[in-house]
Amino acid sequence: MMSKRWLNWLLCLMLALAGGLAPAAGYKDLTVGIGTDASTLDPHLCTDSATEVINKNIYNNLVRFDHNMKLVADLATSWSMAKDGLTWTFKLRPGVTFHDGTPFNAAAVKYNLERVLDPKTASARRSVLAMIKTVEPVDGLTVRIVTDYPCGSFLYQLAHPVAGMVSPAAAAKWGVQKFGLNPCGTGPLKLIRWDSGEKLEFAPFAQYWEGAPRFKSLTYSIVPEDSTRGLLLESGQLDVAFRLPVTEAARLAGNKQVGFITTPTIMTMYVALNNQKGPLKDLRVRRALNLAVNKAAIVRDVVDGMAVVADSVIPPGVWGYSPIGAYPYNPAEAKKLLAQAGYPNGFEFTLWTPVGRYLMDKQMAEAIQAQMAAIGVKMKIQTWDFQALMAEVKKGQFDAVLLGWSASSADADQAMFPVFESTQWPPNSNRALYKNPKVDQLLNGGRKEVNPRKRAAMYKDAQKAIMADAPWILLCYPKQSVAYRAGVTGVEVLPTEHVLFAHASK
Amino acid sequence: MYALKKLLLTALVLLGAATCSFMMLRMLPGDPAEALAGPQAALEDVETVRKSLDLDRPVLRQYLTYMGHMATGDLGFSYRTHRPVVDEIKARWPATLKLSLSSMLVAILVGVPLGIHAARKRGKFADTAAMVASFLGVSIPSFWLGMLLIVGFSVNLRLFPFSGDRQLLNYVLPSLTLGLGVAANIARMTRASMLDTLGQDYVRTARGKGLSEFRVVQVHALRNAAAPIVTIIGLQLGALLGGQVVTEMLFVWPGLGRMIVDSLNARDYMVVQGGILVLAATFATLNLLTDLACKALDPRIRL
Repeated sequence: MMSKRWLNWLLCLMLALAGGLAPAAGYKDLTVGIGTDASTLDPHLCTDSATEVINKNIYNNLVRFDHNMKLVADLATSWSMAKDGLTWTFKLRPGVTFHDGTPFNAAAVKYNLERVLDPKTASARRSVLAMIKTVEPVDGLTVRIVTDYPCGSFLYQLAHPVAGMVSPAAAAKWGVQKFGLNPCGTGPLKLIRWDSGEKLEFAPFAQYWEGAPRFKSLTYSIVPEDSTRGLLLESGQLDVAFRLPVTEAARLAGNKQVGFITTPTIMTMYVALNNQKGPLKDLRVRRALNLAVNKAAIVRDVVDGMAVVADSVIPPGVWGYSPIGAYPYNPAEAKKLLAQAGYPNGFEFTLWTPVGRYLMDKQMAEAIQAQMAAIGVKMKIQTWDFQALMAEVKKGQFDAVLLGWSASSADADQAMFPVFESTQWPPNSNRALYKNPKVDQLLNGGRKEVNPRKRAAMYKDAQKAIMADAPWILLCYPKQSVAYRAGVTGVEVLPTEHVLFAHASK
Repeated sequence: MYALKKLLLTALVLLGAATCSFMMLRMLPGDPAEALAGPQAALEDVETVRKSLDLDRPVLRQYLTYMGHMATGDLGFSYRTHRPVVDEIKARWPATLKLSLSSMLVAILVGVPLGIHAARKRGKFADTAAMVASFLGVSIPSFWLGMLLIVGFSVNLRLFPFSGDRQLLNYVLPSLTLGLGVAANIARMTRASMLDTLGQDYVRTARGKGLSEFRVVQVHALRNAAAPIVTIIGLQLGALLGGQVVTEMLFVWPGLGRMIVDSLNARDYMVVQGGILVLAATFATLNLLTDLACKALDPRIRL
């Protein structure tokens, strides 16, 4: 018979074990204020960055970016490219399961990549992975992927949100129509409920491969009004707030209870000049407009330091970036160039701008307007609803349009090819209607070059050539800022504007 | 006979609303496939999306399909979430209705007594003060008033939470924001209508009979002044249903107005159409109820 003392010990041990296993002991609820409701939690269908931010916490990719935009292992632990430049072999992380208990393995990778490519899925990001020819499991945890051409940016394509890994069992169960409402991935967040227009509530995934998250629950609360989001954070009803406008951030800057994580993004803001229209056809005119804009003043006064003056058409976070040097602010030189081009008294053009789509977009346009007036150029501003603007820009009849471009794969190919290659004129994304055969050659070459050194050199040359041609008025790289209450730790903010909560706690 | 006529008319109104919203959305610049795919999408991806949403078919055929489905109670799917529009509306419509009703309660409780008081003290200080207050109520933008209430009562005094619609306390600030503006309208109408009846012979008779002032005003005058007040309440309730977008945004209220505006910005046609249809139906029902209420108050009114 067991003595009473032994029984007591056993009881204590059991209690201690139970306490150690209980995930919620002492953990708190986290509430995160976001501006818009999620669209679809199916990463293969999702197209808006506001929802990608959430999906990034539900799903993992084979590879991912760290906060320095370096590619690091995610669900793949190592990878190699064969000499042919076409065949890639990935070793997968063992012991990973999806939220529904389905194991993650080579067959799951095959299922996922083929799901994106399947026309029936109708993914609006299919082209990100369109170079994939075959995906074959070698063994349970090894997968071989063959591409159509030697793809220089292949790993970057796999880090794109569209290449997130969903549970094959759940995806088959719900089908393309309903999986987005019943998401199931390998990430730290597991959906509990989604009240349309109000909130998305998540539980921590206890079997998360990096370790169970240290919060009791995480709720994305949808707070569309920017200033309300600021006020909720201030009054402690939110723990974290996304995308506070510059004015709110400035107001909260003195509050000791509120902190900010401010990081660069991979966006470039610019004015696309219509290179095929009127005075803007003339290189001297385009250079003059670049010289006329005081970028440093815009960064300082309009966006309150929440941007960096752009010194190349792609930002530092994008692979292949090479600092070329911004056009200096020199109105006198600008006037001289205009006179040489035959416009000593300036000329007139209209700048189209969205309102509230990009960081202080309309205000930037107004600052540019004043600076143009100083060199005798009369610039009118026309503001647009964003969707109407995109429809109009497609026709290619504008003078100039203020936009932002961020390559979601964070690679020079996606950052430059769509906006500068000459087959990409509207209705595609080369909205400056820019054409330079040398640049075309470099961009097409870089796409199919797998030697990183050679590839980087090609993109450097392309950036130099484009800067000299001045198809854009190059403005700045916006920064982002995530606000949090004192006591919140472990929030990871990436330049891709993704905010990861795997290690967050309060 | 009356009910039949009204029902037929309502059906026509709804058909008109559905057709108008369908056509106007398609005349709007902007392309749903492109909006969904995003400004950076490759052209072939945009076309894939367009096809998957059946937006590549002729507009007339889209219209006939939509109308056919509508007749069976199917309002289609959201382009963005793939959720049935009916589900989306079921989630949002109660929030909108509840907020409209609670705001109207505030408006009636404030507006009617204010109007009566102003009418009784016509030309005196109380009248002027009440009318200045109602003038302010009409002119103050709800955005500003709401922000002021949030900063004052929620952030500084911490008396009310201001987001979500889960508890009763959540209703206070948004209802005040919306209700005070409407109260001003009701007060003006009440005052005008009361002034009219207070000058009538039967009111003088009632006073002559020695009835208490309370009875004279509340029973004899107010009852006869009620029809126009009820009419404006009905109209304002309709306006509240469709016009609370800004307040919904400010107070994080998951209502229909916000849903429609968000969907419009994303060119999510089906959701916008469904939302407008439901608002139109609610409005038509309210009109009907208002008519019936007026008739009950004043049997001389012929419907």
